[in-house]
Amino acid sequence: MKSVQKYIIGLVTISLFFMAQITWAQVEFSQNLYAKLAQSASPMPKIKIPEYQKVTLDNGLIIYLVEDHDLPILAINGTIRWGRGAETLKNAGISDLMMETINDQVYGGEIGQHYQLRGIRIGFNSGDDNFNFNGNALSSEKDALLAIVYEILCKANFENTDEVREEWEKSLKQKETDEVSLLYKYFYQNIFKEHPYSFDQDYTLLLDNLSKLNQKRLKSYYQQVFRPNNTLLFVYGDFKTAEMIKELKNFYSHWQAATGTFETVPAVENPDTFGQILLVDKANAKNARIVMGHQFNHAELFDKDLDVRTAFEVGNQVLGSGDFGSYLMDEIRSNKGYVYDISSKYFCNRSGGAFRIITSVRPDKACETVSAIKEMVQAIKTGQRKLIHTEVFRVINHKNAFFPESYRDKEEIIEDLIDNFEMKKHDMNYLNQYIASYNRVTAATAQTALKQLLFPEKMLTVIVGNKEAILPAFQEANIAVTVVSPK
Amino acid sequence: MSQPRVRSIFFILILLLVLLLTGVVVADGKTAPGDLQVSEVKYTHCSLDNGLQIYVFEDYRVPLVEVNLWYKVGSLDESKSLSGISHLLEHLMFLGTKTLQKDQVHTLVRQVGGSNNAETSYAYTKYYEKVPAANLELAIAIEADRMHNLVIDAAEFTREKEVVKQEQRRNSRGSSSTSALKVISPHYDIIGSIKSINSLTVEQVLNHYRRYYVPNNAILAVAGAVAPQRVLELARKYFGEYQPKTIERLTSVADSKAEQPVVIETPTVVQPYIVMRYKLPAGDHPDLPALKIVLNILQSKLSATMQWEKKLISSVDCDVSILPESTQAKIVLCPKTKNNFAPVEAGVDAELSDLIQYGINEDTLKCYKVYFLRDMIFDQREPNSFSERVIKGVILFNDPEFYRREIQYVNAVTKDDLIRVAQKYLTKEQRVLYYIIPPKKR
Repeated sequence: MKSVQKYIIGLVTISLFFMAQITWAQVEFSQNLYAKLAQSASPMPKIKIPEYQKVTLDNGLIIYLVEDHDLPILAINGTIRWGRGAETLKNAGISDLMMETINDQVYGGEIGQHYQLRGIRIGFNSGDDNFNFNGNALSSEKDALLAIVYEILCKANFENTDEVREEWEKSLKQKETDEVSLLYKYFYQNIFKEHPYSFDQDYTLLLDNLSKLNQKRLKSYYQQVFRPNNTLLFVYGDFKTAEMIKELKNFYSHWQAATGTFETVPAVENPDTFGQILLVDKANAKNARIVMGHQFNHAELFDKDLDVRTAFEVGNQVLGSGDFGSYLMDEIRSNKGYVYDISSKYFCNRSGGAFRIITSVRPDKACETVSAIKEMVQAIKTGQRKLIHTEVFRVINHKNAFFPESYRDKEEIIEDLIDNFEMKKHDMNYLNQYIASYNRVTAATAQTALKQLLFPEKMLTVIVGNKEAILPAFQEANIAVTVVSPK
Repeated sequence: MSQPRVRSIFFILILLLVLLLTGVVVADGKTAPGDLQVSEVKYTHCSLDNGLQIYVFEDYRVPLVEVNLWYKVGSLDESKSLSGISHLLEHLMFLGTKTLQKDQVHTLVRQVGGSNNAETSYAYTKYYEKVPAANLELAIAIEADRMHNLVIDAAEFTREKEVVKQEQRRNSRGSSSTSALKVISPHYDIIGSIKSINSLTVEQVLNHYRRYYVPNNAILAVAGAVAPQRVLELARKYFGEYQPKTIERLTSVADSKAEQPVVIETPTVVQPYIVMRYKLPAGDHPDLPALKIVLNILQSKLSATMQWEKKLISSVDCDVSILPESTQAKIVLCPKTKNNFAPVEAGVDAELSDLIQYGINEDTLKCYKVYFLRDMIFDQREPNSFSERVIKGVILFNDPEFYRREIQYVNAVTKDDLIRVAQKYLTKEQRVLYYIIPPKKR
């Protein structure tokens, strides 16, 4: 009998074991399951600065070099300490036209084909505070890549200016009918009022100036801007450092330094725009495109106090990262269904910046959307809407998870170092200081930063759309709107 | 009963039990390991018995994984009356399952510091989560839950349709060659028109979901810091019990060539378009790379002569659309005149004849080849974009190694091939000509 009992117990045990296998194979979805699976906090990353070499030539040219032999590629990138911020009303557009002409020289005609045959990609572009270029190729084409970068930096001719100007004129004229171009033109023109940070969006001004920007003026501007004591080069990829330094010295040692500094005028707020709603009438528009915002001149504050910078950054992500879960998306898309996307962004250049909220809605919902956005920003400013820890934590956790990816390659790390150390005069280890700083942000500090730096009462609202469809709701709500016809 | 007899009966029962239950585990999970292949390049492939295909691309440089679930369904699978249904379904997949609440997919992913989104195209719909590697199971659980347990709330359905309609409006920035193509075939209209979106019902969407969101119509592709064995384990655990279904696809309708040009008057364009469509061989045919180069060259030539020199057109787009079972070349021109299109058509014919007669020089051909190859190499810096190449090869041609064949075909193209394919495929006889025009003012 005891044996029988033993066998039965054994049988039951084995059966239970196999039953457990079956149960494991059939998953029961439940909130408990998801709660268990969603527990994780990414650790604060530490970005290791890779080995690099820095060389400064006698003429002031600074070169950073980083070897990486994983793939047979070579990149030569560069920054020039000059930007559109130096333009005036009389030469607005000269930076962009200069870059368009340079790019055309690289890709057009026989010379262009010569480099394309070698799979070389290179592009120059202008920003508000600096100019940049990026060139890359297979490392087998090192000589050709070095040669073309040298040609452009030291010997660009502007013989193709007239053709490029004609093409650029056509593309500027097309912007006259483009809703997004109209939106930004009116927004920046109004909040910056004749400051150079608005010029690149003001295609009317650019078109007015175009005929005056000839080959001679471009060449003169180029010579003023492109000089070794204004330029940083970064060479990355599959090469040997000692050989590369030697080659670069051969190319650039005789490049003449010149005097002159990049200066910009600080942007001044335009109080005429505070609280204004401007409707740019476009009869055939199916949407109402909206931008709401104000100037954002806090570069000095952010330089001085990294914790304020990161607190605002995190707070702004909670407000309007554009992802589901951000306040603006939750309210305007998930709850109301008015929009497909909505986000809040800002930039902060050395002489000024802008904060803006951008979206597009069905025309008859424009008034409600504008009001809802303003209420949201106001509620955050007054503290009526409080940021909470879980929301702030999510942003920080996301940054911690993705930072290593953003700086996975040595190229990205050194480019960041160049930007922070050389251009903005921050510490060499600024990147890791930045990471530590955003990890210190709390709901309270993020709220304080938003409260300190957002001004709903100063927001200018620009809407591009069909006034017949948009205006009635504003009129019914007794909200004043200025209507303009695009020019 | 004697002890030996009891022992024998016990062992027989055990044997029977093992056979029975092992059989159930195997049958139930349909989880016996599929073909595990270790590619000489960088991915591992296997599939479950229910047809779910699994690809794993290992990259341990950062502790992240991207989980992509691709369904082989897109706008090509939609009849005209259901235009936009795949894309609408994509939106609804975030609004809850029997377990998950509305938008909880986003909340969970964000909670672990990840990001997620989805995309609908002509031939596929893709859902992806990028999360810390430690949360791989969360992403797989979400996708398995959504594959099988979607719930559609009527009120949310109505609200989400408004969001989709807003997306449709947002994307229509005036006219474009894309607008013209959507008019010719709703298969090019991924989002659908306002009218078609309005007409879609919950029942239609659920039918579409049940029809196509099944394991044998899906590919699970995981890229990042993860071992293939772990992915297989989790796939078995979460998808293993799902049943495959037979997928019936729409038969494509050949273009009518009875009367040309086909004139379509539509309010979705504000300026006229001329569209020339040429039916081509299947997308994995060796002639395709040469055809792509020819179309590229043709676009440059048409832009230079007809747009800038003769000012007959304001824009031109030439490309090849590679779709499952149907590939076509398209030339889309925007003429400057509103009613006399003959000079534009004559211009295209002239450029094609020139190309056939004079060909291109060796250097120009080399340019195209070099660019193609360097893009492949630069792509290798980013394992996820490389994984897309592989998976699109599976979706379009059932061949993960299609990109390798493409490299071979491109390398083999000669100047003579360019002339040959232009002569063979880009002829008036192979062409269907459309005029897409705005409504006449009455």
